[in-house]
Amino acid sequence: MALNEYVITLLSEIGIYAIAALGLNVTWGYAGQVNLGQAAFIGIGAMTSAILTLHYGAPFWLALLLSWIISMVIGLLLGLVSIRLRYDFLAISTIGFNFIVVGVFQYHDIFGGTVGITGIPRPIIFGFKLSGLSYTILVYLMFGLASILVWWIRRSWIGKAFEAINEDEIAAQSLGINVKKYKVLAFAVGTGLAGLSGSLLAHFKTSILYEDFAFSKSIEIISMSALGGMDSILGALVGSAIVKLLPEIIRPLMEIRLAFYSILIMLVLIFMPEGILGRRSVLSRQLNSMVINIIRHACKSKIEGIKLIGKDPT
Amino acid sequence: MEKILLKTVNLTKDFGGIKAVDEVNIEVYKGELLGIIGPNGAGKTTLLNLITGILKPTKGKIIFNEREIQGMSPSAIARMGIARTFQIVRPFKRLSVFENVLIACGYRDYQGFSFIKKWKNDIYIKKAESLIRKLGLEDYMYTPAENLPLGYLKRLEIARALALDPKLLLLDEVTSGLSKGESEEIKYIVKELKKQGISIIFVEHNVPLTAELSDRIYVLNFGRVIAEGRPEEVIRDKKVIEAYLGEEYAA
Repeated sequence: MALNEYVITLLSEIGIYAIAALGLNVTWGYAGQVNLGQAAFIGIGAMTSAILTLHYGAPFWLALLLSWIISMVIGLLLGLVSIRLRYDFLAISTIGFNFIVVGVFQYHDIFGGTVGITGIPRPIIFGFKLSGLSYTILVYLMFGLASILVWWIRRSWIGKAFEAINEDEIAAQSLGINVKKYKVLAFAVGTGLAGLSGSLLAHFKTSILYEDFAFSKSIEIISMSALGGMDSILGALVGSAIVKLLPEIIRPLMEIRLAFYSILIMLVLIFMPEGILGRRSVLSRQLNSMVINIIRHACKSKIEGIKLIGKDPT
Repeated sequence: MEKILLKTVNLTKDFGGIKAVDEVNIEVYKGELLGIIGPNGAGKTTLLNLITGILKPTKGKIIFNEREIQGMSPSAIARMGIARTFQIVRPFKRLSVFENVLIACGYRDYQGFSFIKKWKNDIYIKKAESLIRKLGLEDYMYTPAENLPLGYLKRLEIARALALDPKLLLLDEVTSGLSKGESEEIKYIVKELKKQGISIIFVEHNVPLTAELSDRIYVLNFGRVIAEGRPEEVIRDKKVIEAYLGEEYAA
């Protein structure tokens, strides 16, 4: 099977950005905390990983792990600082953070300055250099792990607390939920995943530049997340695939990518606010009722019971 | 003498020169149903917001179970056993009735690191279901809260508050906006809760209803307590009639 390099590159990028979009889904989709600076955390992860492997000879796995942790810690700090802000103000402060991070990357030589960092090594596992398809497999493995993490968050009490905060902060507080703690946690989980995606990106592209993590990249991630459905795991991947593939298929879109992302976000907000695979999206509801119908046909004797279970959206 | 559960000492809330709550001293005894009445803008809801920590007092103390709770976070106060409903209902709109109550059942797990536990836990599910049944919401178990009429939302809020196993329940105008029939149902529920020994602060507009339910009543006006005592005494109080109907009626 000859998967050519072009396809492999595209597949890898889709997977890498899907992880960042998944992170945004946790922060924004689950917990309702706006983060318009997700690209900054991809950058923090990428730079951490690049510097660790290049300058300190750290093995890939360690660099990956530390990128995740460092982005998470910085996300945690940003969360702590911006905890008092809501909606628009939070949005603006995260945009500001994005610009600050890019500025720091641009003006400090350790981050490669205006020429960027080049020659980032490809990961070597058991003496086997990961490139091409094997790297793509690694990327999707990481997406799988990230999905498990997010899925586990959703089925634990954290997920319920996130949902409650997203719906109504004051009511959530009055039910004993420590809103501050969960907001910070939501930030940390989301930015941690962005860092992970950044690390994978650095070792994939082998050269990174401050521009790669500009605010426009954040918009791209948001459009992926919104299109796929902000409260969906698989939606992050679907959104990432569509946003990455459309400009490849329709070439002229490449020239006006930023406009394309913005228009995409607006269209999604107007016509499909739940995204493609969001839990309350049209498609999900259709699929749901299809499954319920199949079960109902399968065991007609217990229709009452099935109806109750089927209607339970939890 | 019964034991004091909650006490405020010179509680004051200043909104830029306007004292919404002004040197208020109230006491709630264990097992008591305390009514708080007063005209619009008397400071009733502000008082509840102060007790539940949503607002920080400018001055004064709130003592619950012999601990000072002013300055504590709303979530910590809720976990100590003060639950409330809201005058303007605040359900988790997109979640079902069941999930709304379930979230409240998990309050213990929001502490420390036990939040990593699975939420689909039999104990909580049973508890949520029994509360929903108790409040007569079982037909709407899996309906998103946004699709419920107001009367049911008020009951949902009571169910949610009860899920916290409260020692003190604050009901903020639970009958406002409801039909007569719905108010009757709420009245019945409140009586039931009182029988179970839950201390309740019942904040209301509706004077006859409050008088009927309460053991004692405080009357607030312009942020101050203007009368206090047994319902039948309070509603005959000259100052109270003045506050509600104007001076000419009091004479």
